[in-house]
Amino acid sequence: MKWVIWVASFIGLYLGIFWLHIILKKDKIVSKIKHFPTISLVVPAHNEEEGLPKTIHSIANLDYPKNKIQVIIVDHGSKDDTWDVAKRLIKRYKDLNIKLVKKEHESSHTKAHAFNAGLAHATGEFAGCVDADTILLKECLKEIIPEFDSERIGAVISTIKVTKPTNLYEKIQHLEYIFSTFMRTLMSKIETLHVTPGALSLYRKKIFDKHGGFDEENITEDLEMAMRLQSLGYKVRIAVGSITYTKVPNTFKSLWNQRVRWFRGFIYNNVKYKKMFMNKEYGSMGTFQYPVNILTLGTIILLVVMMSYELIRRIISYVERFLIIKWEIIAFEFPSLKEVIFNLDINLVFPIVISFFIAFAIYHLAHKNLKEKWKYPFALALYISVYPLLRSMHWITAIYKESVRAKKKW
Amino acid sequence: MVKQTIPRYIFLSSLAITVVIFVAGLMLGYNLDGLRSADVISELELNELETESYVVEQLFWDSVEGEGCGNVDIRLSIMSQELAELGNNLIAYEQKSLFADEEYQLLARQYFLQEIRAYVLFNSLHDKCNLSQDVILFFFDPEDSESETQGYVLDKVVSHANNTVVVFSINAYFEDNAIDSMELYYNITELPTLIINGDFKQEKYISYSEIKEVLNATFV
Repeated sequence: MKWVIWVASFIGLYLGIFWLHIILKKDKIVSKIKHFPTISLVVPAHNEEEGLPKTIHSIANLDYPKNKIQVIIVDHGSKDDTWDVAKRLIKRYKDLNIKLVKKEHESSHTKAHAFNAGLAHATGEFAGCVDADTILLKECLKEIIPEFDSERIGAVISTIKVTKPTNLYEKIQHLEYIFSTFMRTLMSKIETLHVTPGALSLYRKKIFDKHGGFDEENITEDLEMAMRLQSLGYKVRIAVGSITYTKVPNTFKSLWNQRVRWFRGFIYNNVKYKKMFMNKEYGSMGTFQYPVNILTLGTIILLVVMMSYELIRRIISYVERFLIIKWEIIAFEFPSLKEVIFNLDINLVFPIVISFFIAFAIYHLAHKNLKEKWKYPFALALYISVYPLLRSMHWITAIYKESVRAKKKW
Repeated sequence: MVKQTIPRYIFLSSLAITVVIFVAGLMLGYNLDGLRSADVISELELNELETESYVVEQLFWDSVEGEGCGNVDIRLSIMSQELAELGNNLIAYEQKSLFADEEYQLLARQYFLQEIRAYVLFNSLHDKCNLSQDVILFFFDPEDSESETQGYVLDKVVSHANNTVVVFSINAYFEDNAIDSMELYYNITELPTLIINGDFKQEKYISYSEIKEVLNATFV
C-alpha cells in the first residue's frame, strides 16, 4: 500500500509542479478591442422569473454597442411567470434587440434543447449562451472578443464568480470557482481548455452552422461542445477579465446532484471523444490533457478506495479494542519529541506536507490571478480537508451511475 | 494535425524537480528508519544488559548467602513491561519503515529471543524465590484479528492486575529454532494460545472475565 501512496504522490507532485511551471509560460499579448462584431446571446429560461430580470439588466448595461447585441430569451416550458416577465423586459429595454422564443418542455429535455431553439434565431457573428441566473459585468464582451484573434479559437469563456456567497456550501464553491478559473487559465495557456460553462461562453456562430448546435442527449452539453471543438481542431480560451456572477447550489442535496451530473457528463464525454486519447493529431489535448484527466481520476479513486479501506479497518479495530478495554482507550500520555519524530509515518506525512505546499502555492496564485482576497477561513479549512472527500464521493457515485447507465436527470 | 503547445523543457524540468523533492523525501525516510532501528537496537542492548546484570546479581547473592532473591518480582515485572513497550515500538516502526524491512526482521528475531530469555529467567526464579506473579506466555499470529484482540485483553489484564501478571508475547510464525522448540514443547497448534503459569494451556481467544478466573492475581 505504501508504494501505491508514493506513486500517487509522485504523480500528484509532478502535475502540481507542471502546472506551476505553466504559470511562468509567457501569456499571448491580446490587444484591446478594435471592432465590435455582432453577438447573439441566447438565454435559456426554465422557471426563471426571478433571475431573468437581473440577467437582462446586466446585458443591457454591457459596455458594448447595443445595436451589435441580439438577446434571445428562450422560455423553456416555464410554469411560473417567466414568459410575462420576459415580455415586460422587452418593453423596458427597448433599445436592446430582444427576441422571445417559446419552447415546449418535455421531461427528457435538457438545456441544450432550449439553447438550440434560440440558436435557430441567432444572427450574430458570434453566439453565446448565458444562464438566466447569471450577471454579466460591464466589460464582459469587450474582454472576450479580442481573444478571438485567430480562426483557430472556436470559443472563449468568461471568469465565473459566485454571487454573494452566504452559507457554507456557497462559500466553499466561491473558493472552488477561484481555483477552477485558475486551472482554466493555465489550460487556456497550453490550449487544452475543454469546458465552455453556461454562465457565459461565446462561440463562433459559423461553427454551429457547420457542425450543429448543442448535443441534446447530453447532460453536460457545454462540456460536450468544448470537447467537440477540441476534436475539430478549434481551441477554447478564457478571458480572465470577463467576469460573470452566477448562483450556485446552496444545499447539500442540490450540490450533490449538480456535481454528480457534471462528473457523469465528464465520463460520458471523455468516452465519446476517446479518439483523442494519446492521439498526436489533437495536440496537447490528446497527448497531455486527456491522459492527465484519466490519470487524475484513476489516482483519486484508487486513493479513496485505499483510504476508505484503511479507515474502516482502523475503526473496526478501534471499536473492538473499545469493547474490551472500555474508556481506557482514551488514556493519553503527552508524547516526547523523540516519540513524535519516531512515530512520523513518512509514507503519509511526506505526501501530505508536499500536497499542502503545492496546494498553498496554487491557491495563492489562483487568488492573485483574480485579484481576490483570501477570505472565509472556515470554508477554506473544510475545502482543503473535507471537501476533497466529498468530491471523491461525487466521483464514485458518478462512476457507479454511469457504469450501470442510471437514468440521466438534468 | 494540431501542434503541441507544451514545450518539452516544461515536462523535463517538472520531472527533475519532482525527482529532487522525492529523493529528499526518500532520504528523510531512510534516515528516520536508521534512527528508529538504532533506537530499537539500543533498547534491546539495554534490556539484555539488565537481564545479564540481574543474572550476575543472583550469582553474587547465591555465592554469599546461598540464596538471594531481593526485589526480583518488581525487577522482572519492569523488565517485561519494557520488553512489551519495545515490542510495540518495533511493530509500529516496522509498519512505517521504507527500506529497513530486513533489518527489522533481524531486530524482531533478537527481540523474541530476548522475550524467551526473560521468560526462562522468570520461570527459573519463580519457584526459587517463591514469586506470586502470574506468568503468561502468549503465542500469536500477527495477521490474525483474534490474536490482536487477545493482545488487547492481555493489555487490560496487565494494567488491572497491579504488576502481578507478566506477559511474554511470541510471534508463532517467526522462524527461529528457539521459538520452534517452545511451540513443540507446548504443542501449539492453534492461535492465539496462552500458556498460563507454565501448565494451563488456553487455545483460542479467552475473554477478560474468563482469564481473571484462571489467574491468581488480585485485580483493581
